[in-house]
Amino acid sequence: MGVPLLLATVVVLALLPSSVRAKAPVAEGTAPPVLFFNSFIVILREGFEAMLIVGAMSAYLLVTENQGRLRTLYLWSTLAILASLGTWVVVQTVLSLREDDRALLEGITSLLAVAVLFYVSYWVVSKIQAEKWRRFIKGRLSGALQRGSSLALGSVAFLAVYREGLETALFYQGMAFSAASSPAPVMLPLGFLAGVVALASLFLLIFKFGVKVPVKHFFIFTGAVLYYLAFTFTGHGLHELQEAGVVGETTLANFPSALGPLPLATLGVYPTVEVLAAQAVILGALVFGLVATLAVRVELGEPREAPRGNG
Amino acid sequence: MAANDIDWMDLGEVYRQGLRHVGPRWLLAVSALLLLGLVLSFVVYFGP
Repeated sequence: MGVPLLLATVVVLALLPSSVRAKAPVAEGTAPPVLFFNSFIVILREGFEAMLIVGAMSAYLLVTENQGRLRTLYLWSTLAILASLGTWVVVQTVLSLREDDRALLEGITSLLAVAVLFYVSYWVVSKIQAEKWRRFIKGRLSGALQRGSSLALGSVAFLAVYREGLETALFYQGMAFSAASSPAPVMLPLGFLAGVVALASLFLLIFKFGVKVPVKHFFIFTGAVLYYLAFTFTGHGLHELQEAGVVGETTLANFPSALGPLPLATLGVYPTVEVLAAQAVILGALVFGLVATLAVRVELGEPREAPRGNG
Repeated sequence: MAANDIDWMDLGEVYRQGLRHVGPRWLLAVSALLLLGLVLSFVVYFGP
């Protein structure tokens, strides 16, 4: 939905003639409290999604009397988290080795993060209702269980968790780009650590005291933060590609550089036609997604509810 | 266990029953592995 539109926009913009290129203003770093908050929310949201996915798969193994396979599920889920950390380390290493192509790689990574966000979020949101989850989990796990191999079950668990981890790794890399020019870049790892502690506390509350998380509201709030980040990444990513000379740069004269005291560059808004057009596509895809989701609900006559037992 | 014995999205109950089957030693080993990965990532992040 949004991804093909975004990619099409990027391709079209890349083909713009270089004669229209001009320099855009230098990126402003993210304010430290905002950086901390974004970092905190991303790991909390993605971690909770992973917790839900593993929980749903555990439940299926329990009700189908496959308790003996739980170790495989938990082990491969853990390996997926480690692989996600490894992915982030690899991205960091590649970026540090390719200083000459840094702007190009930053641009590609940021836009990749946006594409993965749209894909993964759509995947999770589309299964936010219990019945869809049941069908999905049953379809994937029953096939793996019938094959009888631990590898089949493990690969299902691994891929389900890794797709969250990949999104997380790309998002942290995207935030790391703006953290580099922030007055306090340490807020990025601090926000991550605080988010991990919050996630562990949340798990304990759920595990020990049976606390019910309002899933729908949690996803709406954290989803809004993720879409805001996708909007800024689109701007920063395209700006980097413009700096690398890959995408054309048509500067708009008299475009405001700040919204009150807030420099627009901190929101990823740059005064070029290309950046603004791509961000308009992102906003359009978001609106289209919301309308389409509501339309499907109305058509199916589904009740507007969060997954049972957690909301 | 019957399918209705467990509310599939009651995470607390699901994890309580699930982790009971894997045993504390195994759980500790996997948790240690996870923590090690986390620490190593931070070493890389703050390293030279």
